[in-house]
Amino acid sequence: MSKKRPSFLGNTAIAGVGYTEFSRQSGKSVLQLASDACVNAVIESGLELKDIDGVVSFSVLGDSVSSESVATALALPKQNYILNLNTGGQAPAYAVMLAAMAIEAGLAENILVFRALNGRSGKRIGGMTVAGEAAQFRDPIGYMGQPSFAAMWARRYMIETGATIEDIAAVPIAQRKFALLNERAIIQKPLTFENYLDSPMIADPFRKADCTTEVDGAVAVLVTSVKNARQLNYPPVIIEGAAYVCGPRSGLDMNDKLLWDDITTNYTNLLAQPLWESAGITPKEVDFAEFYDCFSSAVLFALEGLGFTGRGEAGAFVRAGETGLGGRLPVNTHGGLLCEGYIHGMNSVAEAVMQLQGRSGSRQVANANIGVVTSGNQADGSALILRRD
Amino acid sequence: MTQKQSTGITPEITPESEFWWEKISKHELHVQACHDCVKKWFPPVYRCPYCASKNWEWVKTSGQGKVFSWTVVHRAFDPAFAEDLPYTVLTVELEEGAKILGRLIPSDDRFSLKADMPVKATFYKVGDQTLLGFAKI
Repeated sequence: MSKKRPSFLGNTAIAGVGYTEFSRQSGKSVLQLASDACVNAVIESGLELKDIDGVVSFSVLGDSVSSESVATALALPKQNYILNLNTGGQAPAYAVMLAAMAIEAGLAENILVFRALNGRSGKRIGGMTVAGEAAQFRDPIGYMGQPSFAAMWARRYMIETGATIEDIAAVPIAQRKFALLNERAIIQKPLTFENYLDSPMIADPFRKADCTTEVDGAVAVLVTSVKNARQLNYPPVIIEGAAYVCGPRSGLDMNDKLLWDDITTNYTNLLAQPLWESAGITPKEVDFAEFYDCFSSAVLFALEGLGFTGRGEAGAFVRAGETGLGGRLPVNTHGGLLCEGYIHGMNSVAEAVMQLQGRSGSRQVANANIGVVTSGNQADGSALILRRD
Repeated sequence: MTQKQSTGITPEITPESEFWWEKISKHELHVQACHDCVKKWFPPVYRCPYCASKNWEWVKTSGQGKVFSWTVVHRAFDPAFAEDLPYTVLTVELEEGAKILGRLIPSDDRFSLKADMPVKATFYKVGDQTLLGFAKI
């Protein structure tokens, strides 16, 4: 394939990140959370609010506030780029891509990308019924809740590859180790295989430990040009590679996947080639990964889909400790969405930035130079390859 | 049945699905079949999702297929199903080729579920609504 490299790659960067506290009950409005995370990202970067001329965000089922409302709450003088994406887990890397493209195209200079939600005390999207053309065939038979949909894929993956429950369990077990090193993580308990088996069943094969932890909170990142970023507080994290893909027959609505040919592989298989080509690197050059992990199986799918392991080998890779600190590919160094909490993957982008800026404390990956971030779990998704300047 | 049953959720029927639901109420299982590319599919779409053709028709299936995947649901994501827990949702690959969703009936057969296990469409009622299930052959 001799596709031209998108021009924003290598020329745009993430300059900083902003967090709110993550909790089970924020006691704050989503607008307050969004605004606080955005302010933190701006201050940390070394910019001023008046320098921001674009805001991008995403939401599902009306669980967030608009980018315009945040611009209003922050008294931003003028916006040249606004996006409100109506998408789920496939969005974080894609939202950063769209911001970077706008900057490269000259539409805006400094863009905030945020995700904010009261995902625990407010609208809990994981268990909500999602309307759509195919909901009439799911809801009446009780096929609902995000864990059920992902479980259907995981079960078939186990059937075809011979992956075992030990392989699935290895993912939360590995990520709990990182979570213990992350004060922000909501789940701060070690996990053994025996504890795992005690975890209540949600939608077989998933237990509670396989499911993301819903939280209240917000995360923002600041996207700008590499040139601008070099004038700011922290080393720029360069957007070196990026891709989005939606495969054929992704469905009539978010949870309709009956027409997807192979539910043992997801968008990461389709994304691999364009992603690696966009950065001109191979998986061997990657120092760590932050894989979208609404459910544990998503990590196995991503490891195989992006070519870090062969088909059906991801479980053994995780069980061998290769995704832990000091392993061949540390994965979800914040504990993932399973443990740090479900800021819908925006926190996985932020964690990659922190790692590449060398600010991850006791969970810092040694010599972290290149990291990959994925967003999504089923038919469509996006990914970034980020590099320390 | 003396067992307590779910109170259910009524399907929101669309112009595309009206025919399918009408046949379900008569205990028949139909899927769409394309005359141009010979694919069969579910759920109902106005054009063939493989070739965009409008040249398709409903075909009655044998109702037989094999278990493609499943999940045993242990948490009621809607209170309507609290009485049913745990219950199993199957993805079934029909003999004719299309994949479709249905409840495993009876629920206790979940203990002997296996991939590729042969199943046959069966129909169950929640209130006045006839719904699709599958039973071991």
